[in-house]
Amino acid sequence: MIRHFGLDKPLHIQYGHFLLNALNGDLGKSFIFGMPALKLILMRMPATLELAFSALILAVLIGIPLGVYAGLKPKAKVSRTIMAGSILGFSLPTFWVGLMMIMVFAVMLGWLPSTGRGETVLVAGIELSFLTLDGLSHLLMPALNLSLFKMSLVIRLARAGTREVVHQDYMKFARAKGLSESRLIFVHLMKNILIPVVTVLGLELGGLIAFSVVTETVFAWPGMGKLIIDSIHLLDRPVVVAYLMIIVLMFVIINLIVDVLYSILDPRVRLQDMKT
Amino acid sequence: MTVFIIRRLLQSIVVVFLMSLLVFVGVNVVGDPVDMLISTRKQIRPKSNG
Repeated sequence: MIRHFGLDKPLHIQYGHFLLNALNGDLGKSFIFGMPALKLILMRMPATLELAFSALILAVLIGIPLGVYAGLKPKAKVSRTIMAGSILGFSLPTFWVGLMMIMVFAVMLGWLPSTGRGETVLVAGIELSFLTLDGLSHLLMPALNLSLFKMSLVIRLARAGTREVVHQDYMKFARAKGLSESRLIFVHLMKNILIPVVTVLGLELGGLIAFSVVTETVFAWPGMGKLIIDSIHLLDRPVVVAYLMIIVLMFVIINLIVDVLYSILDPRVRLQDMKT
Repeated sequence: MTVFIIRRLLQSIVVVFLMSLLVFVGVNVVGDPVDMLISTRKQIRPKSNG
């Protein structure tokens, strides 16, 4: 068995083999399932990606308007409530919020299903649940649960950005020029507060995908989280290594995209980088 | 812009290489998978009556 898995060879030889195979897209074969580790992970990946992107979209769609409102009217009662809510979002543990959501929305009210992925639709060979009503109802609670922390982060970033930008000379000038409030907010304010939001959210997306394990476990979401937990328990080395390598690659690609986006939004970053 | 992207790409390749080394060595340090497999199979083997 040791020879079969190549575990009898010295570590540097094993690493060399792994690296050469990885360059050809082969990240090893699972000791437990007897299948390529990459295939195993890719089978579960759409569910995790769907959950992570849904959470990110929720965080942006809810977080930015609330943050901008709290920044524009900092002394209003609603703004204070939003900021208090964002502190709760930071401090409450994800698993506890998830359990409470199941308790309220699934057990007591019976509005939403508590576990699973529901009915899915096959689009280009990928199973998606947000395209069916049943799937959407299954997705809503886990996505909201996963997005709570990021939503709080977006609210605080958007509020801080708004407070800073609203006092800038170009905003005063635009207002004096007679521009409408909506144009002031959606064009002049949004463009300037989006730089930190895009950077942080881009980096957080990797975290959302990698650490959705807790939410997946609470809501029995059939994603990569369950697979990696089982693989760690059984010391299924190729699956653990493959999972970690995919996460590393994902982080690197997301960082790269964020850097490029950042340099488009703020050309000073690109120019500064060229000088160093 | 192209130089900026190429530079970032090269940095990313170095990061991926270093991380692969770290992950591979780290996972190897955790334990011997053969021991784990043998003990798992022992646990699920049914007990004999004799």
